[in-house]
Amino acid sequence: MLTIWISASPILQEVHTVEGATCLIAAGHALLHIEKHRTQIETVFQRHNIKKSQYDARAGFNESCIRDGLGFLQQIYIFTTLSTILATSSLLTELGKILSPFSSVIFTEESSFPLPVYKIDGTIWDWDDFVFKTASKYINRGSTAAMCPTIISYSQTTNDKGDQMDSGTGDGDRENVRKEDSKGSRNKGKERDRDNHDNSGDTPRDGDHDSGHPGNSGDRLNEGSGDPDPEGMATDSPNIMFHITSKIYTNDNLSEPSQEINTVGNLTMRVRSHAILTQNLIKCCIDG
Amino acid sequence: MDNNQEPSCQVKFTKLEFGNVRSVVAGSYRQLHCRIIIDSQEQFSFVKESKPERTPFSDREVLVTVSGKATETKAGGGAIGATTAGFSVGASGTYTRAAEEGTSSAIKRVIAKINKQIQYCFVWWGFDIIDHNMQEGGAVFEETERPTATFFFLPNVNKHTSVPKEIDVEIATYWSLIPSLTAGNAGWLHNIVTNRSSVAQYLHLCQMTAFSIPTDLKQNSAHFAVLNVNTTGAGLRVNTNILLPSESVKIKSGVTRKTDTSFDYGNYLS
Repeated sequence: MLTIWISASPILQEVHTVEGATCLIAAGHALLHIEKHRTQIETVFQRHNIKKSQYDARAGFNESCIRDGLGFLQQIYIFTTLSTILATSSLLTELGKILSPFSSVIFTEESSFPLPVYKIDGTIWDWDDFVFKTASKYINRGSTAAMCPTIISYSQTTNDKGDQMDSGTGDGDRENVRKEDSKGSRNKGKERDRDNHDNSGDTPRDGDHDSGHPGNSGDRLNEGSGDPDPEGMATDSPNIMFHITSKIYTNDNLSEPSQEINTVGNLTMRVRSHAILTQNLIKCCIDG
Repeated sequence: MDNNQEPSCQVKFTKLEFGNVRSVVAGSYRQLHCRIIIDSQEQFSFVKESKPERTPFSDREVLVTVSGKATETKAGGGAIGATTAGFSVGASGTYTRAAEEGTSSAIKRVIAKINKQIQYCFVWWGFDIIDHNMQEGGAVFEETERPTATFFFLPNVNKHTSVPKEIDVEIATYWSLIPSLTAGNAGWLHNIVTNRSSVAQYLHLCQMTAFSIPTDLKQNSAHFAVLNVNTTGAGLRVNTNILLPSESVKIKSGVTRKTDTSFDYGNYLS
């Protein structure tokens, strides 16, 4: 059974969180194809006197496409414990036909061969053409992919707890108020934004000169949470730490993961907005 | 970035580590690759600075000669050919161009082959993990290997410039059951064939995380997630209905899915 948990990361309720999502991706369609064609695969191997205990099929992605930064190409892997298979063996073409439209690779103890991929009309795909037309490519965010990789586990972190952008902790009632507040100010921000645009369009003089005009202070309000930094510099470079864990279970009782994959890190962000520069200019003028 | 007029935003990884805690050996995933994206999402932006740079192939040739164990190298043997060399040399120094200014240490540590590309308003890095130990335990990035990007934002036709509301960061890590050093490692293949029920049905897993950092963020923050997945079982059913509606998935790398989750592979390749 494939089991899905949607987890809400309860440990984080007290921590200011950054919105995001995490998922685990696998070659779901390739696996589906294997499941549907198990008996046909079995027949082919039988015809070649290869016992069921000597081979197995798994679903994965093409590793070169990943390494080259191209994207996901779902692929079927056939593993055999035979030492070799003749490259001219009809086993390869027979398997290729069953496993198409997926590309596939057969592994023996000593080597591996790609199997031919057949089009519906029976001709063989040119590899580049096949990758170009069917892979889920990063370059277009998978929009032309023949099939998308399957999300087998998913977690989303949102800021619905209400403490987004605000410091301090809140209790139940205040949270709601604060949420409304932040929504309100966000809308206000949009209005200001529009006002600004209008201003700069109608009266350019007032708009976006580099030296301390009201339009720019409007900008500043848009950028920050309201109170200007006394230094006039973007000294804030908040840390964002992240810790993502995937627990992989390969036993049926789900008592203990067989593997845990972690991504741990920290990043900082420094923002310098237009208005901050302006404030610097003002400061320089006063100083001078 | 002091003398520039344009608003800017710098995102810098100050720590980046991948980990792999295992309770099985043969049937466990190893890190193959990782991909990091820093995305300003603003079309009127340009990437002023981004590090680390792409690693040239010649660097790895240098590595091979320096290692002192040159007899075993597979000179020019393609991407995976350098793997053994990466494993055998000492761990000091760095391998990016940036390192030229800093350390002059002769022995280079190669954990990954880096590909960096700038596309419009975002930068992505592909780190191909070639060091055997890093594959087993998860890659640990040293300072010069950690991604940094600085974006500048240009005025649009309304002469209106501002930083975008959010900067997106995406971290994808790819794991494989196929060992990189298949020679002398024949056990893995037997393990896969003979342990049908306890070895994952998926040879590869990709863990993707994407989060949006508000540019007006003032306080230290965090992003945590724990995922659970069972990848085995003789009767494993892949139910495409488990796919989530695409609008709920903000992750970008080829995962922006079509809303139609039912896949008819019978006629897609006409």
